Amino acid sequence: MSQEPHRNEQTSAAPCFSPGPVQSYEFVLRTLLDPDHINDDGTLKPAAIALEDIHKRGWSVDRTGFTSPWRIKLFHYRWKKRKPDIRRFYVLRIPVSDIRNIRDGTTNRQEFAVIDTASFLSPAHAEVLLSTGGSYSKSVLRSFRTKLIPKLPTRIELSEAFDHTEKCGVARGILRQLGAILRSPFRCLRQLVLSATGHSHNP
Amino acid sequence: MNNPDMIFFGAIAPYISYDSSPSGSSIFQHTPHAIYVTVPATVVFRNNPTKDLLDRLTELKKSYSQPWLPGSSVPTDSAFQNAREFVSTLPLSYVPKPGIHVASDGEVNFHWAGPNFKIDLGFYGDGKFSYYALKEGSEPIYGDDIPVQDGAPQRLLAIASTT
Repeated sequence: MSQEPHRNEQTSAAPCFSPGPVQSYEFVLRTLLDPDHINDDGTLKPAAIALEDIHKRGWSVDRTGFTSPWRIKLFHYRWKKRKPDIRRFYVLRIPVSDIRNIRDGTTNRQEFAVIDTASFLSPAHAEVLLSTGGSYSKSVLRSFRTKLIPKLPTRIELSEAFDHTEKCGVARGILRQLGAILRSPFRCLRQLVLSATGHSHNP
Repeated sequence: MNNPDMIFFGAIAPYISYDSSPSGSSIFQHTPHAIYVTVPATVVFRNNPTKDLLDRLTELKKSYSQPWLPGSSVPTDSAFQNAREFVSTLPLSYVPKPGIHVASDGEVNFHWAGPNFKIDLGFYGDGKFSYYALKEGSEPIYGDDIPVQDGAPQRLLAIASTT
């Protein structure tokens, strides 16, 4: 049975490894693979956002304040090795507030949450997913995806994705992570062991 | 036979007919059945959207034969098979070709978009498909658990054929 993911934005999903809950003034980065995720006119293909990701798994992003260009480049290098037909990598630099401002037209309820799902040595990791859990039909999940895509900004090159204050983000993230671990070392050690053995929500 | 220009295809006559039009071109009426026609190897089809889509599926199946990102799932053989069956139900004489892509949860996704509409439809290999269609000025359309052999409903095709 799959575990229901953490959807509460007020508390950390990974208190041992996270720099803290994601704030609305932050930006998150999502890598796009060309041609897999991008139409010829530059727009995003629906397949760039898996339904299972917005429903339960979480659509992975990185918080710009806690990562760095070299770190993202390293991921790109690894992915290119696994899938050589990737032509190019782009990123979306998404204001967290834009995701949180997507509302239900009738109830005004926030539809997407941005959750800090950091893991050991990946303090920047976060996820976008539906703010309310439960069972959704595929067509309803498709409607959420259709609503999310136009709210996302235009793709850019990785070199344009960081401002000068963010370039040392990894160091900042690791320091904040160490701080979190030291505040509660035994609990975090246990979390670390669980994640290493694949028993944690955050792999 | 009253009209000598019209040829009926034996047992499948209720479903298909072939007309010689006055202009000399050919019109095949839509049929829910797959029809196989053997032609000489030298024949070149200038425009064959069905073949284009089937080729696209073959290409995707090859390209996504193993998980390409951490945590990703590749589409099952049945997801591709369902997509192929669905292609054979599409009236591509008036519906434009969809974009076909693969998502990291194993979905084979079909996508149509125009200036005022979007259709998101996909297969996970359970013999069914689901869709969501949004057109400006109309109520959105939702569809779930539709058997692949039923094909896309008329109202969806009407939106997809909007230019």
